[in-house]
Amino acid sequence: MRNKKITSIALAALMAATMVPANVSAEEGVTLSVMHVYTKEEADQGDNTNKIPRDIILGYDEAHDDVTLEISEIQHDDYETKLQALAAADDLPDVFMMKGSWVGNFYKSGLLADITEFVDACEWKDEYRDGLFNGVNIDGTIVGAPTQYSTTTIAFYNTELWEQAGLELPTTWDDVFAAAPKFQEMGITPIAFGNSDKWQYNSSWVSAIAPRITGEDWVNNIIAKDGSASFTDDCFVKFLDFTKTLGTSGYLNPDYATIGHQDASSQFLQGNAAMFIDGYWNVEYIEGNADDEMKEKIALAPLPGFEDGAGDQTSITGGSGWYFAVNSKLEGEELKAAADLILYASGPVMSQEMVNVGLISTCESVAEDTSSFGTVREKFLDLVNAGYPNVEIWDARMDASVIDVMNGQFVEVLAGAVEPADAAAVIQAEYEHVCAQ
Amino acid sequence: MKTSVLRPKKWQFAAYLLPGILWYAFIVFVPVIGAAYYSAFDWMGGPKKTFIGLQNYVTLLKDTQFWQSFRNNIYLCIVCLIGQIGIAFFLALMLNSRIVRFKKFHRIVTYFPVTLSAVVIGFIWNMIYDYNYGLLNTFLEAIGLGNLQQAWLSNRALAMFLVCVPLIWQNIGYYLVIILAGFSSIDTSVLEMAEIDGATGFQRARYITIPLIKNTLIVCMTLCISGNMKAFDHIYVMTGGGPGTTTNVMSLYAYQNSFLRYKMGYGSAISIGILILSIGITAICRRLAEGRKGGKEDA
Repeated sequence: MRNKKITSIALAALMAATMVPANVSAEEGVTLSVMHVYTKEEADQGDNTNKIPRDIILGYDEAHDDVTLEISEIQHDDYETKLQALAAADDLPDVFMMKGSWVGNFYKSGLLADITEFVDACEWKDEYRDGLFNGVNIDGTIVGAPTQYSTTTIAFYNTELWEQAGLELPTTWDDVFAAAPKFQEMGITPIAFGNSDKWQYNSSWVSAIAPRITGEDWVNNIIAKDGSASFTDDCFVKFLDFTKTLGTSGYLNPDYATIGHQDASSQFLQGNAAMFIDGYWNVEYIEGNADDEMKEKIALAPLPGFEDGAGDQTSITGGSGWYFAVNSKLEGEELKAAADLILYASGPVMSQEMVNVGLISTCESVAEDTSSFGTVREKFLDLVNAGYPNVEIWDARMDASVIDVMNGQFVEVLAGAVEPADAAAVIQAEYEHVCAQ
Repeated sequence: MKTSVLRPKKWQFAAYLLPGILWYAFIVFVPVIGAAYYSAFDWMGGPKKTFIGLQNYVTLLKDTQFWQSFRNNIYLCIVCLIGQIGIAFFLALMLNSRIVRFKKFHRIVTYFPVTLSAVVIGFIWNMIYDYNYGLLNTFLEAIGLGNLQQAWLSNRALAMFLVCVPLIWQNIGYYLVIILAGFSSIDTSVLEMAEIDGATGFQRARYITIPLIKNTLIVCMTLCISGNMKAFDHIYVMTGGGPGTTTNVMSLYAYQNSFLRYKMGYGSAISIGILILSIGITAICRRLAEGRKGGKEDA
């Protein structure tokens, strides 16, 4: 009996002894769990928006002997679901990606580490494009790093069809509505639209069209939640009136509520629609899916404006829709390593590689050789570099629950099922609920 | 004597069953209790929770969107009760009659959709309803009814019915198998006797088959109602609750609140609401069905 006790104590001691070196070795280097959306499958298909950031993160792991990354790559849609579940369970990885509209919520829930001092000390902080940190800057506290520069509001025109109709490309919505009946006579859908997931109208239309009616100040006040702007203000109801006019005009493809943006894009690429509105992701889609003849015909422009509008009538959205962030549980060396990683992955090294293949990224890098870029990609670079004023991407800057309620109401207004004033009241109620939190 | 030796003692029965019961309790009751607990908080996910008592339930009672979703669930239940069990019963009668050939083949084909994933079915039916290339529009064109072509799932008046169709189509086989099992318990001599007495097929179904498999039908009805009260996947894939909120159902609404709007507390309250409403409606329907049976026996 006594022997047994001694043996078990000895075994326990042995076990404890073998555990110590493991701890020591962990102290020598830092291990970080990382979760991102850049999957190997997508990278292998040659999708540069996935391949480049993925390689940058893998390269960081290799270049730093003292840092070990445990990386999980999860496809975009699944990632959203999984990260939300992990956030709810307070079980987030050390380094992860988050959507702009999650930031406020995650911050209030205490999930995000403050990386302000690391950003201030970052040697390339001045190389970032303007305003990319706006979405993760909460009253001076920076809680993330941008992963992209995204332009979500671009009008794509089929110039051949506009010529056939004997029309100039439109600059105002009045032009569009005047041209639409002509296209319908030709058997062409005037505007291709796919809103099955409801974010499309918000991201690619509202973010640019609403400020043309309400003015940019109103939008900024809404984002700032300072109580000086309300969704029931006349200017926003006026924008909803436009939404109703658009939705009930009959100029959109009749199945717009049930098809996605890529289905709509493919209608446009088949020459069945005169214009199409979407974000920068559609540039890559066109490069991958349209034939050369079609690519030549496509013109890119800011969305049409209004003659009696309030804000700038040629603005395009710019900003980061997704950010890298660090788990608030990290401290000391781990926090430092994590902040270093996300700033590296968002910085000029990544940006340069993106720009070299014809993509716009976080820093104002210049491409080394533009000869290999596709036609539409070049047109896109011209558009972004043409100096149109930037406005905010709504679903990257406003609270997720307000955006979700808003998206639902936009669908109703487009269908003519809810009156603009009533929809405004519903959105305002949710906005007030969020402001009160 | 031998059997009583081999027969395990009562505590042994309990011990053998215990792991299963514990496991079941863990995966069924713990989440329900968890949801009930979380529903008392204003919680956006993450570590911060604010206790607000029954406030979420007060909001729920006044939430018109929730009650619209509830009405959609009820509509779904009614259409599926008629569609799934009605058609399954009719097919079962056909398969039981002597004129139908290749019975096994029919049974397999009818059961086949049950084995498919709801997501696959959602996509297949989305293709059928597609405006430009859909089977339905192409078919209408082919038979000269091109003027009826439309963007089916965008039609607010029809959308709810159209998402019910795949649900019905998928589950007929499931109820068919249960009803056929019920039929096999009916003594064939009773039916033969009725036939000799000159009862028509309809009369045999009405006065012999239905009363004899009443309990099976009640089981089918219970399964159908409870299944449709928690319907989620088909609708999520096909319309996501749209256009607008036309085809929203309760579980989809709970999901939207929890994971799109980050109202975990309110989402939990909705889930508990679904549980209470489902149990309530299932209980009422069973009471009605069994009550009618009781009344008949008295007469």
